[in-house]
Amino acid sequence: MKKIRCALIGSGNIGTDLIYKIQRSPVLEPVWMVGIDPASEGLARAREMGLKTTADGVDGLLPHVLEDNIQIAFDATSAYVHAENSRKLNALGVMMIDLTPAAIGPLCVPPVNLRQHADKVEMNVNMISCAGQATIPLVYAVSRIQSVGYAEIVASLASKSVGPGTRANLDEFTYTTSGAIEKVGGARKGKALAIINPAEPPMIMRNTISCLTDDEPDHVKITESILQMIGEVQKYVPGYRLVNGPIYDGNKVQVFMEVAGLGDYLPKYAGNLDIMTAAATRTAEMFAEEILSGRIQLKAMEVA
Amino acid sequence: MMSQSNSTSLKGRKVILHDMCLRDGMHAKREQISVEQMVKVATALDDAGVPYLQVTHGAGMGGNSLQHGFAPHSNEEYISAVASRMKQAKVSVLLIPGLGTMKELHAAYDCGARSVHVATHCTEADTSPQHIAYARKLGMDTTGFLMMAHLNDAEGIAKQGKLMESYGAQTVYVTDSAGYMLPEDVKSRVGALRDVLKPETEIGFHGHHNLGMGIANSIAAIEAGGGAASTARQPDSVPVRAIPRSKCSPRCASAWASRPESISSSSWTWPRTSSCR
Repeated sequence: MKKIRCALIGSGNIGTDLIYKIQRSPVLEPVWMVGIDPASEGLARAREMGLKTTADGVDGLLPHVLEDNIQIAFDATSAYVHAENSRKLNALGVMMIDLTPAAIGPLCVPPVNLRQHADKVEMNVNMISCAGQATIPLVYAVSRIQSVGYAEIVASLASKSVGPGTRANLDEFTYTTSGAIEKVGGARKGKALAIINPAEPPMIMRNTISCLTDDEPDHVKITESILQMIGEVQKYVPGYRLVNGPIYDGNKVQVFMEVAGLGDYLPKYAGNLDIMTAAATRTAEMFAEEILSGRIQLKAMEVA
Repeated sequence: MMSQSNSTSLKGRKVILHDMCLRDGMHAKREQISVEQMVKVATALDDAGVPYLQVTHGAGMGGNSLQHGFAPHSNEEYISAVASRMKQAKVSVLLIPGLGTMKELHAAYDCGARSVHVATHCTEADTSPQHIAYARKLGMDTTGFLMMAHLNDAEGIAKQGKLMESYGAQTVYVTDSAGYMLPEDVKSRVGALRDVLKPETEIGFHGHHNLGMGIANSIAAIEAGGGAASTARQPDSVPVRAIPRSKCSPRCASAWASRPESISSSSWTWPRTSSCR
């Protein structure tokens, strides 16, 4: 079966884990890995896994985009270089899946709004953050039942699973995730807290999601909505599990959950890595299915 | 014998007292200290000559949350109310990356805060570079605050402190958040920091009094060259920052004298997650 050919930009934890996910996809094929350090472990691993590589950043990829028919690129670099990467690749008709906190394009949480992004043929969609992918589906599960004035999420991540890019730019993570709790989750005010936990052995990704509803929460409907949403996320992240809740205390609805990864690149505790790469892969697959069926066509964008 | 050696090594050491009652003390009061109480205590501390006092939610910038509890007022309201009344004391704030942000730090600066503790777990200093750099850009007195310091050995603390110094921290703290350390633990960590940090970088110690060791640990810290000290009663604390040996001049401060009785409430309950810093 024909597959859509993909490039991966950024050879760190996320980029490397993406290779495994994309290789398993029935509609995607990883072809290029782009890095900036010729000696990087990530590039060496990508070569071993059969990808073409360049250490010259996105400029090293551009001359090969058309001849290799690259149609989707995943950017796992940083918020600061994403804008330029996206501009250059969009100009060649490549659709961008943004795994940085840059958020130039619309924010995407697959079970909440992926379908509408695909219908609009967005050329750049942003995957928010690992904490966003893990928690926003559940904020939305509450807000689709009744209005949420405030939603707060606490994501606890194993220290070993948090790479240097995230560490150096924690505020971008906070801003992007908090904003997405509002824009995609549907809360009027959102707040995101990240805890990087160095415990040994490494802890599995744990999340606490709290929503304050405007009116008395409808326990039956909200519980049903949350359980249904967990099922939706489990379709692409099998290790997405409810630990406790929903617990109701007045207008407060709380859910405690954990995310186990598939253990592709980092061990299973790094569910935060998996939920990001799995959501990005799911997003790319939806676009790929639409392209392969001829329903949508990617077009080179005019560069302003 | 021992007191002889202590009095020698402590003699002439200048110590800077950094009061924590109104920040770490917030935990003991379930974050419920009023603006009026803050101003009353802060003006008394200012009159007593305490040079630095910290004023925020117990968890610092961004602390107001379901996770950490909501204070009756915003950090901006507390800081503005206190800072506008200070004759000599500088108001400081706590910023834990992942909870607080640079935007909130800027807002605190606009309200009159001029000093900040950028705090990370003692193995995660590399989550603090942008916040430390931003604080320096604002011209704030900037401290790297290594929390739960008993969970890293002296060599590890030295490495993490060196990172914070490289980001721009002017002071590095050994923070015994859990009140676990004994004087020898404090000395080894402060000593290791003193060995690797630049001579002009100050070293601080923030203790907790769980084991009744707050004062002894503070004195040990001062003694350990760099010598910082602190005293604390669980769950709040009164850290003291020490000046490098080269700058020593005689001065003495009593941390206990500055703690208001109202803070040592017996109606204190442990938050659902440990938010003691």
